[in-house]
Amino acid sequence: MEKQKDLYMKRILLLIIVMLALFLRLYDVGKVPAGIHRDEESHGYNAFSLLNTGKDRYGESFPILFRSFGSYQPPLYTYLAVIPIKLFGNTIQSVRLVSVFFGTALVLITFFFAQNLFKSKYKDGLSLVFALIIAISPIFIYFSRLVAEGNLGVTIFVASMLFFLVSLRKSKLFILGSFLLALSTHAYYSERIIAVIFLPLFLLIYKNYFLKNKTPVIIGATVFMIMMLPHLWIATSGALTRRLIEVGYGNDKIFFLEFIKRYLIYSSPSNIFFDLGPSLNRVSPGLGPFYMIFIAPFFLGIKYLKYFIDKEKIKLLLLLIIISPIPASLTGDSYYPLRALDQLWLVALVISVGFIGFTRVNLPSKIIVITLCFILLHSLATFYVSYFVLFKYEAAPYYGNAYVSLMSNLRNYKDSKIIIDSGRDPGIGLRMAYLTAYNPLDLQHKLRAQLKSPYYSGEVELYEDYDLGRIQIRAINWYQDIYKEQIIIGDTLAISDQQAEEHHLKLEFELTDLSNATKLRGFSTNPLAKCQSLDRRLIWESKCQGILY
Amino acid sequence: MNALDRVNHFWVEVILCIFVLLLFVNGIDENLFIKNDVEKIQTYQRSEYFSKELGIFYRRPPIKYYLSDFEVVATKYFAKIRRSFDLENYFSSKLSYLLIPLIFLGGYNYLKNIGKEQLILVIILIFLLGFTKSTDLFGVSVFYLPVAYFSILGSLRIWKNKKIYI
Repeated sequence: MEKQKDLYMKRILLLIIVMLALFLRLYDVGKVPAGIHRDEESHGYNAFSLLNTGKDRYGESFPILFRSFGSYQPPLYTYLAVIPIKLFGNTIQSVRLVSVFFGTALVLITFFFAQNLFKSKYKDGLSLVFALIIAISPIFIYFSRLVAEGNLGVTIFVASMLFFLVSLRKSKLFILGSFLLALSTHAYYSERIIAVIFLPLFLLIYKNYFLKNKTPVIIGATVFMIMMLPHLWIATSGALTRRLIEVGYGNDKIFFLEFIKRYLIYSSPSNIFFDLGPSLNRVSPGLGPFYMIFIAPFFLGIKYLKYFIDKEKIKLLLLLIIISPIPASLTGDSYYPLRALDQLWLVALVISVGFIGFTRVNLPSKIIVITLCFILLHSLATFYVSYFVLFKYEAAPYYGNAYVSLMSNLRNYKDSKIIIDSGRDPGIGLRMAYLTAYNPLDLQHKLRAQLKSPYYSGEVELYEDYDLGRIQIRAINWYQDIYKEQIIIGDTLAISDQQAEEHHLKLEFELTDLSNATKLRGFSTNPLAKCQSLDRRLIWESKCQGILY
Repeated sequence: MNALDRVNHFWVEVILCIFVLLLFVNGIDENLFIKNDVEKIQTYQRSEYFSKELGIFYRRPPIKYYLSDFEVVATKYFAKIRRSFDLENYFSSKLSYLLIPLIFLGGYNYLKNIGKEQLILVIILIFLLGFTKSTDLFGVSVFYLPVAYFSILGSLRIWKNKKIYI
């Protein structure tokens, strides 16, 4: 009877945690972050294009990697995004829903992983705390509200770890673990490296067990290798390694020393618990990947780790702790938490152990409960202030918020030709194409024509011109565009007051984003006034002949 | 229980306490409490954002001034604290990379063996460091003490039967 009551209570608490996780990930997801990043719109438009034509925006049929803005995107997110885009259309929310779903699923999978990892005496409390930490930690909420392949990658990776863990009792599940591990390599770059290192080492550590259960290992390894074939298919094209070259150390560094330095950076509590600052891919103003208050349970967790986990299982954990920072350490950026999500998930595990370790302190249980409730409420309040207030406004320029507002403004100029400057943001054109659900067949034709290298290649251009009928998105050509009647739109750097005066441009509208940082201005051209103001000699060199004579 | 598990960490905490107290001899970092021009602008901008989002809950002056001032102090304070947890500071020379396994081992051993109360004391001490002036020699040498201590502990872990009482 008592046991049944505990089970009932556990399920209720798990449900509350999952609902809290879903709420934190779904609430206002279309508005915060305010706007849409170019990587997000790329997944969104490619999914839309696949849905309607079976090809991506360049006209490539079911790609292994999606060519995008100077690099390649792993394919799994795009293929999954087809579902919400079919259901809800081309909106900012719909492309982010895949992340919301998998970010919430991670909470549930984490619970089941912990149920199988920790000693039975402590597993219920630890599983719930671990799931709760994943549910409320800034890093996991942040990436679950964005189109982030890494978020999808970590969820599938953790699911594979769950099956590998259970396979130590039921060897058949090794096959499912291998399948998911291989699948995670199609979700994000970090998992490609971790998977290849993890699988042989896992088999080596538990060789005595798996030598007695060879059949699932052979089938699992075969499944893994078959699923890795797409990577091999494009291995020599340059596309597979394009991202690593893009974000690697560069040629002037000594690999070994640089790797150790990066490994230390990714292992530093300073980067895990503190605000990374605006220059360091911060999660949200004033917040690190985890709340700073979690630093105490983290250190406590290291202390208690081996008390709560069986000796055999701790080997798996140690293996993960050692290899999880490797992919991020191979890149040259200062600190990029998305690449270290697998490692940060392990940090959350250690923190949860620390919290349960804290409950073993000789204090009255009321004080412990009050302290834990305070930590929870403090964390949520901190997150609200940082993310839903400060981040919403301060990150708006990075998510092209002003260009999203521009969409509704352009409805007032239905009969005009429009040029939008994209000199500093290559994502503007695709943003417009995605949000207006522009005809994918037409766009495929126009973008394919601009490819300067094969689809899978080490050379990928960042900037492309977008011709969406009456709207063109490209750099402004000051020798031609001002001699045609049209609307020219750009920020204050693209079209200065001096240029507006010199070229007789008339201000039509001004738009700002939430933070007032990006100011978009729309001008109508006046070719006649411009030509009349020119020197007679210049008229013959310019486009004015047709206008004046 | 081997000899290493019996290492008495009490004196380490005493040394740390003295060290932090010594740092306070240099005075408290008054820059924490003075807003520069950039911070003033940021505070103003952020108060606008809070006002938009929190409405009447934010417009009341006491809360507004408390939040904005507290936030600036907290941001600078935590940026200072962050240094203490930055592993790169502990391995400032490339040669020290060779000691990494030893130091990690020693660090783990330290955390494993000290009491919860001692651990909380160490964390409180680290957090006190945020109030001190940290640009002087004392500030830099904060990193040397744990590095040296963890190296010794790590070495002892390898030769785990050697006895040492600090």
